[in-house]
Amino acid sequence: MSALLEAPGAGSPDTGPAAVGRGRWRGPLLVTALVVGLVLLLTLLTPSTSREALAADSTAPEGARAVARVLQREGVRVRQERTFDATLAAVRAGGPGTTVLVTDPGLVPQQRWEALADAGARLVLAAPDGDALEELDAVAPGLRTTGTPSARTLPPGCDLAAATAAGRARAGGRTYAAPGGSDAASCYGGSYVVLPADPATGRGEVVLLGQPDVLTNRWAALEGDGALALRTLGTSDTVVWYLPDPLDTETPLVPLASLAPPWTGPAAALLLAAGLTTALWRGRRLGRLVTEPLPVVVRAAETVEGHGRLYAGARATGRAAAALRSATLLRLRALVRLDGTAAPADVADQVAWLTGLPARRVLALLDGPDPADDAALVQLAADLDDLERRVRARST
Amino acid sequence: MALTGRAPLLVLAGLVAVALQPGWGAFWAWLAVCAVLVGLDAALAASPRSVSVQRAPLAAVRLGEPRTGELLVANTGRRRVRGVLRDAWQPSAGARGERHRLDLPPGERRRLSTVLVPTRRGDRLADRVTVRCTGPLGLAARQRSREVPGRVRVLPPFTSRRHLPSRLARLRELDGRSAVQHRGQGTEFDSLRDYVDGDDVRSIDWRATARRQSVVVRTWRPERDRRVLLVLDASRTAAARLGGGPGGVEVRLDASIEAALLTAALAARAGDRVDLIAHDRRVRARVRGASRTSLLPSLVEALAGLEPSLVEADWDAVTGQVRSMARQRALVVLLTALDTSVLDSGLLTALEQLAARHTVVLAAVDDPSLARLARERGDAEQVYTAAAAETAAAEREATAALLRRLGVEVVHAAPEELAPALADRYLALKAAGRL
Repeated sequence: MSALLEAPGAGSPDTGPAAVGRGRWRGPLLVTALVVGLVLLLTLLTPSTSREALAADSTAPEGARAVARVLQREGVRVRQERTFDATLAAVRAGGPGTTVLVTDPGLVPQQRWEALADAGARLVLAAPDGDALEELDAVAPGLRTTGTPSARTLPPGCDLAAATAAGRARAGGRTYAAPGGSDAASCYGGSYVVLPADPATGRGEVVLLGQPDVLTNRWAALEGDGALALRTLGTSDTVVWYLPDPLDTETPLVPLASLAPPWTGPAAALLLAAGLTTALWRGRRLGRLVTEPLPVVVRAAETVEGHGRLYAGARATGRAAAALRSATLLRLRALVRLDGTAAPADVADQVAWLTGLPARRVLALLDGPDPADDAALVQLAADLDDLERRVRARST
Repeated sequence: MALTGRAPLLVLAGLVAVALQPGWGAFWAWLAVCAVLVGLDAALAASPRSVSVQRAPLAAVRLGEPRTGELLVANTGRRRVRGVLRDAWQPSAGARGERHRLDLPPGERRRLSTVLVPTRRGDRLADRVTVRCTGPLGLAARQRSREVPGRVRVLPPFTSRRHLPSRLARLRELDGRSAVQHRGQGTEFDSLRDYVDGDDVRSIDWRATARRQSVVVRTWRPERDRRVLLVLDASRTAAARLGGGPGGVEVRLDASIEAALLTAALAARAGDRVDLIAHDRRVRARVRGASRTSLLPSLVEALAGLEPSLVEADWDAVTGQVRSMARQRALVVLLTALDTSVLDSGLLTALEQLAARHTVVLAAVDDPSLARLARERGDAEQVYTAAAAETAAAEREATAALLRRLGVEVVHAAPEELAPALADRYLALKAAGRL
C-alpha cells in the first residue's frame, strides 16, 4: 500500500518488491485456511445420522432410528450392515436365532438366502415382493403375495403372542399367504405372516412384514406399531440391520479396460504425447517479450468530473444552477452585444426584445430562485440551452 | 532448442504403428524413435552462433512516417542456415514484418529490412535479435537471442507546419508596410516610396519630397534580430491527456511542442533569434544560440525525447533561467496550462517579475473535453458535471483576465488550434512593434 502512496523514485526501491512478494501469498493462504476451516466445521457439525428409509441411523420420517434406539436401550445389540459378507459374519457371531432385518429383500439372491438360513438366522423381511419370494423359495417354499391393499389400521386377528400384545397396528401394504399345511401364523389381514423355524433344515423363523411402516419413526409411536416392531425384532440378543447394496454382488465387476480394443491405451497415450509436443512447439517463443516504457499520463477532465460528482453527491442544486446561469449570462452578453458588467435585468430585456419572450420569464430564468431538486435543475439547464439557441438563431 | 510443427505430427504418425502392433511396446518404441529423430535434427541444425548480425544505423524519423531498419545477416559457419530471424523492437516502434525467413548457404550474406512506423515520440529501441535454425528434417531447431543495439529517434510530427505558409505570407505583408499604424521604438526605417492615397501624411519625408518632384513617404519594416524565448512546461500539467478527436493531439505537452515549433519556425524566418528551454523542476531540454538554418533541426532533436514528469513546476527556477538567457528585452512565451492550480504554484509571481522586463505571452492548451462536458445536459448527473465544467471555464477566464491585468498576453485554445493562435499573436505583437 505504502508503495502506491509514495512518489515514484522517492521510496526505497529494494524493499518494495520484497514486500510485494510476501503480500502475494497472503491472499491464497487466507482462502485455503478458510476453506479448510469450513470443511472441518461442517464435518464436526454433521450428525452421524442418515436420511435413508428404514435405516437404523436414519432420523427421517421413513427411517427407523427410534425403534433401533429403543432396542438398544432394552439391551439388544443393533448392528447395521451394508454388505452381505459382514451380515453373514454378524449372524455367525451372534449364533443361531440372530434376527436379520432385510430392508430391501428384492436385492438378495437365492444363494444368500440359503447362506443366511444355513447360519440359522431369523429373517425379518420388509415388504418382499413376488420376485423376492421366488428367490426365497429354496429356504421357505410356498410363500406368495396375495395383494397390495392400501394402508390402514387393523386388529391382530390371530393368536400370535407378539401380535396380540401389540394390539391394533398399521397393516396393509402387502399381504401374503403361507402354503397350506404349514403352521404359519397370518395376522393383520395377511400383512404380518410368521413362518416358524424348521428344525429339520436348521432354518430360523421367517417373518414377512407386509407393512414396514410399523418400523418407521413416523408411525412407531402410534397405536401398537412400536410394540409390534419391538416384539418382532427384539427376540434375540443381536439384531442385524441389513441394508442390501445393489453393487454388493458376488461376481466381480468386469474391468472397463477389457472391453476396449487393446490399442486404446497406447493410442490415448500417444495423443497425449502429441499434445505435449504441440505445447512445447507453441510454448517456445521466438525471442523474449519486449516491454514498453510508457510515459505518465493524467486525464485532464478528471478533476472536473470529480467536482461534478461532488455537486451531485451534495445535491448542490443552488451552486450548479448559479454556475450554469453565469455561464449562459456570459455568452448572452456577448450575443446581445452588452459589455461584461451589464446587469442580468438589462440582458434579460435585450434577450426578450430579440426573441419576443416575456422579459419577466427570461429574467426568472437568468436570475431566479434556486431549483428545488434535481428535476428542476435539469429543466433549468434545458431552458437555458433553449434560450441561448433562440438568441443565437435571432442574432445571426 | 525448439520444436517445429512437424514434431507433433511425427508423434501422431505413431498411431499407425500402435494400430498395427497393439500394445505398449510399440508406443514406447515410437516415442524413442521420435526422440532420436528430434535429437538428431537438432544436432544437425546450423548453430545460431554462426549467424552474424549487424544493424545499420537509423536516421531520425518524424512521428507517423515509416522508416526501414536494415539488418546485415551473414552465415559464417559451414552449414546451410535455414530458419527464422526475429528483429524485435519496442511495441511503440511499430515494427511490421519483424520476422524474416532465413536461407543462407555458407559464406553468404543477406540484407533484411523491417519497416518501422513509430507510434510515439522519443527514442525507440530495438530489443534482441533472435535466430532460430531449423534442422534438415524440419523437426527441431536451435535458437539464440542476442543484443544488437539499435535505436530510432522519433521526432515530433510538427503537423502545425501546414499553418506556416499562410503566416509567412502575412509576415511578408508586414514588411514594407507604411509605418502609419506602427511607428514606435520597435520599427526600423526601410525605404522611401511615392505617396499613394491613403498614406498617413505624418509619414511624408519632407526633405526627400523637397529634393524630388513628387511626394515621398518613408516606409518602415518590422524590427529584426529580436529575441524570442520559448519556455515549455514539462511538469505535471503537461502530462494531462486531452480529449482530442481521433488522430488528434493526445497529451498537453505534444500540443505545446507543436505550438512552440510553429512559432519558432515563424520567428526564425522573421529574423528573430529563438531560444528554448523545457523544464519541470529543472531544465530538461535547452536550445540556445542556434543559427536560423539549424534552429528547427536542433529544436526537434531536443524535444524528441521530452516526456512529462509528475512533479510540480518550479517557476522560480524558470525565472532565473530566463534572466540568465535573456539579458535584454525579449518575447518570453510560456507554454503551460491555464489552471488555478498552476497559479498557486508560484507562476503568478514569476509572471509578474518577467512581465516587468519582457513581453510575456502565456500560451495554454485547453482541454476540449471540458467544452463537451459543459454541453452534455441529459440527466441530473450530467447537469452537475456541466455545472462543474462551466465553473472551471469561468475560473479559467478569471485567471486569464487577472494575467492580462498584469500585462501578460494570454492565448488559450484547443490543442489543434493553439499553434496557429500563438503564431497569430506573435505576428500581431511583431506588427505592433512590441517585441
